[in-house]
Amino acid sequence: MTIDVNQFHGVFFDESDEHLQNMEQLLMTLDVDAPDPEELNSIFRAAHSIKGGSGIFGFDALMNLTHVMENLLDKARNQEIQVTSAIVDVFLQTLDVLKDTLTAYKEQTEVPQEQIDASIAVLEETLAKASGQSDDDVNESSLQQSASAASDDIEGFGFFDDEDEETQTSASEAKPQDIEGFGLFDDEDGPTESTPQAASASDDEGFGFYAPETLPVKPEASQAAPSVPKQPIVKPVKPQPKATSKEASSIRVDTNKIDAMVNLVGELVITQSMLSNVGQEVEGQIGERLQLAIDELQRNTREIQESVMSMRMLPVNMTFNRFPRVVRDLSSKLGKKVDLVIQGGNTEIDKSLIEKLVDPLTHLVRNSIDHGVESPQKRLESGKSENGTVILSAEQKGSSIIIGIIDDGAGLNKERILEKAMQNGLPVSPDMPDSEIWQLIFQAGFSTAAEVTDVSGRGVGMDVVRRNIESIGGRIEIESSQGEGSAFYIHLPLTLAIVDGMCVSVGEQIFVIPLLNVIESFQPTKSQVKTLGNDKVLWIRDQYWPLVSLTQLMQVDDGVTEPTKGIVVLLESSKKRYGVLVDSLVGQQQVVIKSLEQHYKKVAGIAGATIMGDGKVAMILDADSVAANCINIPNEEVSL
Amino acid sequence: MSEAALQQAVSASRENEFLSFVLGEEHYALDITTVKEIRGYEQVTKIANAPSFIKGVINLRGDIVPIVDLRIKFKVGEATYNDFTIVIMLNVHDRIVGIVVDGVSDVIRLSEEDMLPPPEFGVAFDSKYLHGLADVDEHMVILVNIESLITSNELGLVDTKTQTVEV
Repeated sequence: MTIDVNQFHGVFFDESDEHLQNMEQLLMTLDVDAPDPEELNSIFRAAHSIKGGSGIFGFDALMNLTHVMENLLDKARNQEIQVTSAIVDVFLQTLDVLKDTLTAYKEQTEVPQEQIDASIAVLEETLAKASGQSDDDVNESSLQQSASAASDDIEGFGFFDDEDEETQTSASEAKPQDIEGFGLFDDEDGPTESTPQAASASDDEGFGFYAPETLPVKPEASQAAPSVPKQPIVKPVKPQPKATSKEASSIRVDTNKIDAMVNLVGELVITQSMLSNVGQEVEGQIGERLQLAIDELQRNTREIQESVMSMRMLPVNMTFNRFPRVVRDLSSKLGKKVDLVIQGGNTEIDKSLIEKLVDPLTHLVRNSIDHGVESPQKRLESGKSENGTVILSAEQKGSSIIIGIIDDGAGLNKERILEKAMQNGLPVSPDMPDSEIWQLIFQAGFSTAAEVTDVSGRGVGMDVVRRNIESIGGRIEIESSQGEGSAFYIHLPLTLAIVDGMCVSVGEQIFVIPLLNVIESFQPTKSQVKTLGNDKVLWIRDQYWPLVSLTQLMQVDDGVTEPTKGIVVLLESSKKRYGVLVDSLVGQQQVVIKSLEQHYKKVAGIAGATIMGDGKVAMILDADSVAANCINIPNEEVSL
Repeated sequence: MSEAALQQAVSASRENEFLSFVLGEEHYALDITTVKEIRGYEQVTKIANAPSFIKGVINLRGDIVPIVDLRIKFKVGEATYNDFTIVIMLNVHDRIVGIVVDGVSDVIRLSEEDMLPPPEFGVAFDSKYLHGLADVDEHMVILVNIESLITSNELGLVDTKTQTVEV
């Protein structure tokens, strides 16, 4: 009988990703001096689950590597070996290899066998060293014994799977002297302290070599390996479905199903508002009863909408959690001391945003460490603490989420940015407001780093960062002061599916302007409107603002074209600030964004469409695209 | 005899159903499997910078669907909109498009033998958008290849980028 196990692959990959993430997190927070046994257990269990799963699906490379890792972890959690930061490093590197391997299996490409072999060798060497040094009494035979105990453990793990305690006791029974030895060391402070140090010192020697890439295997490693009894070659583990059974506190749902639900609820909201429009027209007693029912319906729909939207929401920690590792790796690579502080990690944002945030955030964090935070020496010289701080924060403000990447480093160098901008032929002057100068770093090919490092400095990054952020409907702001640090704030919409909009009317049509972009609206006086060639500009807030007539831009009949007769809405996009002339304001409301491209195509100046309470379609303006497409080509528009 | 019956059965199975409609004075027909529904013309929301034959978009139960007036595009008949104006909603390659016509007449069954090759000229449609002609009740019915028409650059309903992906 053959069962198609392929259908479970997706679940396995998802779960393994989660396990890996979990392990990384636990390893990062692990206190090396006093490791919490429960945490070590959790790490072990995660590795174990991956091993079990990969055995079922025949992902041998994955299984072999997790198996060796598991051995080491097993010893660590049974306190047979002392966890050192070097060992944590080894685990972290192994995790990287595991990730690559998992991706390879997922994408059905070739597994990085060399890396895996190297990783296994490193793990085995660590195992040999650590168990050798943690207890000098352990001679060859006891090693053998412990290894055989480990192999017993593995063969039997189908039974012990859910009962870690039993595994532990059986393991410890096999090697009572290990435990005793440890007890001794624990009491005598001297040896315990010296031993791990010695271990880590000798480890470091080896690891300095391995750290950059795990590929080359030191010859000694292979020599050291034979002293360890051959790792029990893992027999393909028999499928154990119960290994993956978990409490039903959460269930895995296809995102498409949730998206379909979000869409349906969007429909429901529209239908409901259509119904309430009709309900207002019904008079008399029936009308009253109808109104009551509609009110009830409205409340329920809003609640359904909220709960469905919340299904798509995930804590921003999902993204933030990878950064302790990034910061650790990078700061040690650059010889800087950086503390990472995470604030507001529980703030929830839309799942699709989380995924798209990873790259820009990584870039910004790397940037902060590479360019922002100074070297410890420099910091001390300028009277700061040796350790730099990078704060990753998230908070919700109204209908937007603000994510901050804040460092207490040197801050942006105004002179250098201006100099570079002039070199690149950008129109700049030293009198520009700071905020505009900072925005210059988002120009393509703009890097002020004196030298190009492999971390950053090629100047391809920041414009990509901005484009990524803009593609998810966000914008980025910079605050910086020389010598005190800089802060990057990413403003994101709460969700991609619903936008808070200002509804405006132009002629017979309604347009929705995302509230995120609106600064203010007012009726201009004659003296505020100036003419510049064919264009009209607006003098307000001590600035000239380009003025765009929606009537002309959207080719609406019977719209207002005379600024003093309509209302001007001042908009701010990431590119420009400008005013939009409309007939009148209709009101503020949340609208569900519908794609125009699904059945038609992209329209310049339009972000999408929505369905209003009366069932009619209204266009949602795209402030950026209006700025980009329309302001710079006013003359072409006239000729059209 | 039996062979003839067999042949007839085969050709019968090849019979396709077409929905015939009227544009001005001319009778057209399109493959009925592409038709999603038929509804009356309703107020549309205009789209900026769109050609005149794209009337705008409507809300079809939550989908934002463009409406094309073939009468304007192919300069047949008069583009008037009243209570009798009909929109045929089509579903082509997972895209929904509404086309405005003067009226819907009938569902006709045609086998391949009934289809005559399209003329090179004399029809408003480019012959590459036609399957052929057919004679039904002494009317000439023009069989439109609606899929190629909807996805064509000429109507500009589809971004060239997405078009290459889809085709």
